[in-house]
Amino acid sequence: MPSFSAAQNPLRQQPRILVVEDDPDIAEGIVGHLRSQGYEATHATDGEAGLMALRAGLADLAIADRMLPHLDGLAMIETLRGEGVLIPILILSALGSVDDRVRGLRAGGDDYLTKPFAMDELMARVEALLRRPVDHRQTVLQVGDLRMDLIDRLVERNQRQIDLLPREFKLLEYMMRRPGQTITRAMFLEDVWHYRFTPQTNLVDVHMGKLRHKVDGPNEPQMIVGVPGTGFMLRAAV
Amino acid sequence: MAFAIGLTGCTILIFAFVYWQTVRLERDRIGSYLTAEAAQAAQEPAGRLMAELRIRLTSDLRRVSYGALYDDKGQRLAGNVVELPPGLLADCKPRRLDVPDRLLDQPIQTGSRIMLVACRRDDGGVVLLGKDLDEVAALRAVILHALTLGLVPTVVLALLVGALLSSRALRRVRVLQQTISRVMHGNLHERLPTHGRRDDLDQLAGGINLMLDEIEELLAEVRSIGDNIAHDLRTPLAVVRLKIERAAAAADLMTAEAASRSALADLDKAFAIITALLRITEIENHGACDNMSPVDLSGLVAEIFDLYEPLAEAKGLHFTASYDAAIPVKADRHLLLEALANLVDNAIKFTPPGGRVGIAALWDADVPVIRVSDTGPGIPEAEHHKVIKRFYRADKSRHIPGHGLGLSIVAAIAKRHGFQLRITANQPGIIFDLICQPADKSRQVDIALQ
Repeated sequence: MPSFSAAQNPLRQQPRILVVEDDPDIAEGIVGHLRSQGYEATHATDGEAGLMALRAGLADLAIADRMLPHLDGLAMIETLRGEGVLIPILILSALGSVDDRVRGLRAGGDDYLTKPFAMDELMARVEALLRRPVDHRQTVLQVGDLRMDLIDRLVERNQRQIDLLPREFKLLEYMMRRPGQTITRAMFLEDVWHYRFTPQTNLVDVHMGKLRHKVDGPNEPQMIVGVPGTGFMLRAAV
Repeated sequence: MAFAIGLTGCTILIFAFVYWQTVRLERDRIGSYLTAEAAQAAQEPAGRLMAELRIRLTSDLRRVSYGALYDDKGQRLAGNVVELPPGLLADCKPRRLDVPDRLLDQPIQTGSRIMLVACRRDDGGVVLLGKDLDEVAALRAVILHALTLGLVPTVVLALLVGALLSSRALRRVRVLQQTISRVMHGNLHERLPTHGRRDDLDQLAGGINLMLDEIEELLAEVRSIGDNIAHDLRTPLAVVRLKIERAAAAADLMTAEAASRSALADLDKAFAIITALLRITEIENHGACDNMSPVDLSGLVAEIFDLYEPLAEAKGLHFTASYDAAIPVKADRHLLLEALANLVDNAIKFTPPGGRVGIAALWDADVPVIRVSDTGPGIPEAEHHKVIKRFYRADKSRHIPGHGLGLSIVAAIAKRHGFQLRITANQPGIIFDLICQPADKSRQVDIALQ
């Protein structure tokens, strides 16, 4: 399920990702997987090295652990933000309480993932950070033959009007701003519903099922596809 | 003991004060009398004064024992004091003196001091009047005697009573100490003795007993968690191990892949348990209520209904929400959402297709309540209080997947807010009421320690 393809990627070259992690096994796992997905991945083993590398602009995105030798992950991020370095940073940590997450985001992190994590979840979020969503000032979103008018709150596909409940509209809007990206169930819960907890049941799947039913008509090619084991994606029909 | 000593000290001080004031009063009385007389005598013509002195010194010895008139050169003109005692100024002020070596013509026998007043006359002479203070000395002696007589029994009594009371208290304290020592050495069942009196020691013992009850309960819970973790985490992990073994020994890639994926799912289940346990601890131990703001219960119910409606529909359940006007409550919105979601999650999970699930925000006798009801298998009355313990699963529902910690999370959230969770049978099914009004916390302990 590689979600990165050069054809869709607006960036000219492969994005460079710096992994700041002192645990060698995890670092190896992440760097290896990143490279297999076509990214240019490098590795720093402590906060100081990470700080210097990021200051020098040697990466387009950083994945940083919190508990690092020499310079704590959060301190590294705060220093960078203080110096005006705005590159997206995804925090990876075993510290998973709500408080920890809030602290991480407040320090300047752009996303927060708890260990243990599924590699696909990590990749989906890395991609989401690299490809910032469509400009918020746009009043119309268009993906393939699916069109969403944000002012009139109207959705139509190929002239067929689609009636959506408010919650379904929010869901579809989120996906239409991230076309071609894998969105995990956790991302839906956090960003669309702003829930900090994980329901036990397959809540997201059921919602997605209803949305699909409305968006993908009986004779139309599928635009909402499930990414097995990871989440869902909206893409223009091929 | 300290109290007895204090009491004694105070008593002595009081007696001393009484003594001092009484003696002073008497002295002042004599002094002012003498001064008044001397001042008057200073104005009288010399002849008459001399005659008066003679009379007074022979017949009025009770009030004036000494007197004399001197001329401007200090020579005695009349009276019984030979000369003006050295150091006595003629300033018309009473002075207390030791008896000088030569006061009168004949030696005098008086043990006490004397009080003298000397006033200068217009013609330069000095008139002297005085009195010895043996009356005052006698008064002093009487008072001292009385006080001493009174003081001794007071001190003895105070010491006795003090010793008695403190020995009683000490004995009780010693018993408490011994009991505590036994508890500390592992006998958690023991409780401190109380005597039905509502005095400080009894209340303290009562409070400590309640603490011990709580500690015993917590320890039991921790022990059971240990047992449950052993079972609930080890089982999925054991299965994981099996599957990975199978994957390692697989003859073809497809079997290996299938076994690995299955093992991953089991691992995720184990992690979900750990996360939930940590979440409960985080909620319980976060401390006092920060993040509290006014929350509309009706809005909350509407949101959760919106979220879970598709799920209920997919399962063929009849799902309803009921709420009227806004019901404001001071709470942490995210936590309440989580609690409500857990309750609804459970209701939908356990109610078989065709059943009913309802959520409501309502007033129950002026108290705001969130109610989640279902027509599922319910929970036996006897187990209502057990159901919020970690990992509890009613026998009827062991087959349903999930980690059994959802209600523990709800209970932790309720406790954090000071709210109560009430469980009643729905016939069939169960009703969970989250009563969103802080009750008096730890009622018993508060009453005991007032």
